[in-house]
This record gives sequence, C-alpha cells and structure tokens, in this order.
Amino acid sequence: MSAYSKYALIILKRFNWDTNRGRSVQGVQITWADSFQPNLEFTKNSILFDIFCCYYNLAIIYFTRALRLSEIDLDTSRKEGMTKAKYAAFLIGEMKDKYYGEFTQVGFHDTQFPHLDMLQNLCMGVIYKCLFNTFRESEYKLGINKIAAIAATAAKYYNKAYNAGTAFFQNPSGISDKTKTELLSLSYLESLYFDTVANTKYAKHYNNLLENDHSHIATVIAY
Amino acid sequence: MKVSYSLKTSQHTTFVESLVKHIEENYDLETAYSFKPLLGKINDLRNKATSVVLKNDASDEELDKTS
Repeated sequence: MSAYSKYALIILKRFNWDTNRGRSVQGVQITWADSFQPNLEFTKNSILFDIFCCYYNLAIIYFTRALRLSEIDLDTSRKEGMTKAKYAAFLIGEMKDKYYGEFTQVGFHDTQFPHLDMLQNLCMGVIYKCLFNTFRESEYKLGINKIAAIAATAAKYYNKAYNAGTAFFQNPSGISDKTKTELLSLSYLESLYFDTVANTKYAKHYNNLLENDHSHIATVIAY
Repeated sequence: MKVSYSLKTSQHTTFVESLVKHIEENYDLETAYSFKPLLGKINDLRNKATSVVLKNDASDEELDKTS
C-alpha cells in the first residue's frame, strides 16, 4: 500500500487534475467505501482520493502495529513501536493539514476530523508511552523531572484523544460498539495511569529538592 | 490493549486509458503509449493494495506485508 501511495503521489504531481487549470485528466472514477459503514460509497475523479484513503488505511495498520509493539517489554520493540506510531501520526497529520479540505463533502465517518484527531493523539500517546518505558529505569541518570515530563506528555495526548473520541462518538458514526469501547478505555486508562505516574515522579523530584532548598515546600504539598 | 479496526475498501478501477489519453493530448501518441505498460503495472498495484481486508486477528507479518 505504501508503494502504491508513492506512485499515486507522483501521478498527482505529474498530471493536471484541476479542471480550472487547462486540460485536466478526465474519466477516472475512483470509488471508496467508509470502513465503519461499508455501504456508504463515494466516487471522485481524482487520484488524490486514493492518496487520502490509502493514507488512512496505512495509518490504521501502523497504529495497530505500534499498539502491539508498545505492549512488548523490549527496547527494540518499543523503538519499532515509536517508529510505526510516528509514521501513523505523520500520515494523519498530512490528511488533516493538506488534504482534508478536498473531502469535506464525501460523507465518510471514518475520515471525519475528530476521529483523525483522536487517532493522531493516540499515536502521540503511544510514542511517549514507549519513550517512558524505555527510560523509566534511568531516572537517576536523566533526572526524575525529565521522566515525569515524558509521563505528563503521554497523559496529555491520551487525554486529548479521550476528549476527541468522546465528542466524536456522541454522533452516530456506524463504528462498532466493540471498537468504540476499546478506544475510549485505552485513552482513558492510559491517561489516568500516566497522569498518576507523572504526579508521583514530580512529587519525588520536589521532595528530593526539599532536602537542600525549603522554598519548594508549597510545591511538595501541592503534589 | 487491543483495538479492532477495519480498513477502507475500494472498487477496482482503470485509470490507464485516461492517463494515456491525457499524455497524448499534451505530448504525442508515441510518448503516451510508451507510458502504458508502466501505468498498467501501477494500476494493478492499486487494485491489489486497495482491496485488502484487515482481519481482527491478523498477524504482525500480515500487517507488515499489507503496509
């Protein structure tokens, strides 16, 4: 799929698909279906539609792999997990920033902005989760505050994903209850876990500082 | 934690003739037809790549191969 996406990008650049800009490519009928509601189809005369939908599929594959890899307690798996999650986040970013405007009328639920936003934040959460698990044992070498900051960033992204997901699922989308529950549980539980870890680490960090400098007492009490 | 997603699917399409015609209109017939075999291969790749169905229990190897 990534190989075809590369060719499709070349075809997009080398051929004129814009009817307002001279002679354009005519007669190409590209039809895609919504992944939540397979009977919902849309046809467009542009290779950009292929790129947009292939990016979505690739992002889902990379995200699925990143989730699996993030669960394995090995540095090599975490590193690979981070790479896959980065790819997925990049592809979703491209869809949101470069191409989304072209497809607002398509009517698909899976490529709606809040869903893409939720997926992108989940990918970012996975990246910081892997980063945290890689360095969690090195807190004395790197500094507890840095480890706490990584956990806090993971919590922030999972929380953003949860909020985007909650808003998205308020409207009927056709997504299965199973996937919906899995996504909301994942984002909620991970955000709760990393929030707790970040606060615990920050408390430890300020407690250590307190041994030399009592001006941090208010922060320690706050944590 | 596991998340079960399915992929978008697409109907098979043929864009070779349209693209060859476009090249012919902008260049010449010979140039247009020299691109036909390559565009045909890309079209086949497209139809293969866009009809993949992701199973919930797909193995890591299957996922890597699909991407």
